[in-house]
Amino acid sequence: MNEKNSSQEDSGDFFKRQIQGLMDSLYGAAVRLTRNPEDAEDLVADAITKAWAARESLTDRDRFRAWIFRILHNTFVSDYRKAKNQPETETYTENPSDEDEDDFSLFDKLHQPFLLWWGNPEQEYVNKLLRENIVDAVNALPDNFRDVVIFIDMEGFSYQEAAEALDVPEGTIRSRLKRRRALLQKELWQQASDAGLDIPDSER
Amino acid sequence: MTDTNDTKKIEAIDCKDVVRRLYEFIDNELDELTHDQIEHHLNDCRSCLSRHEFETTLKKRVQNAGHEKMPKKTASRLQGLIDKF
Repeated sequence: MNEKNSSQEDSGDFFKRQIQGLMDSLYGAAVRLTRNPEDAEDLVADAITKAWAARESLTDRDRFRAWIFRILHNTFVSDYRKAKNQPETETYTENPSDEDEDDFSLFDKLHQPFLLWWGNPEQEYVNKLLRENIVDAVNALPDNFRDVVIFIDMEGFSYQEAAEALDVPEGTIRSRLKRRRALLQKELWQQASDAGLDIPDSER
Repeated sequence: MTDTNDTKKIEAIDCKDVVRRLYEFIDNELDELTHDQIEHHLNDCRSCLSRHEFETTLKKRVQNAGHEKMPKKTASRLQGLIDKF
């Protein structure tokens, strides 16, 4: 809830003030996007330089975050994803007809109703997951789904804000929603199993 | 609300609907009525409540995994850049 009246502030001052508060967040997203810290540093540097040059194009100051992340994301797509010749990790169709993919749920895999009162295998599982299991799972997602996880799950954007930042209609964000979690959970299941995380299937 | 229900009775929904909308519920992206319906259901349904807890915890874990500590070297390079703007 930014005060509209503070928009008298010079655009340069406004930019600097806003950017300071977002650096950690931009860097975090950049590491996830590029999958490595060196590229992430360059990506953030490029993106904020571009944004600074384009600062007059920001018409609504309340939307600074979506605007700057949009520049970050565009820079990544045009200069990094392509330059690195990273073929877009197979882009999943948005077609929701693939029911199997959509329906994968860790909860359904783990939940054991008969243990209801004295055990909670699914919570145990989440607690045992390592941060790197999660990072690996996110990294393994197809780009268009990974973007959504980064913006919504990790950075806490609203659907509308994510739509602005990713330059897609909000409806697209919503339609990717269920799928992205199913895919992520499937990856997590795989990563964790590969890592030998014991799956509380046969409780002790 | 054009409903005539004077007690503002919340229409019950079934588990299937809750599961279908659960992520939007957790993301806080539902209209108020649907949000209330789900909340109401969760108060009564242990299975959906466990699912909700699970998904919420998982989301939090994913969120935390997104945080990266910026190396000092990176921070000072980027700060240097901003200072020159």
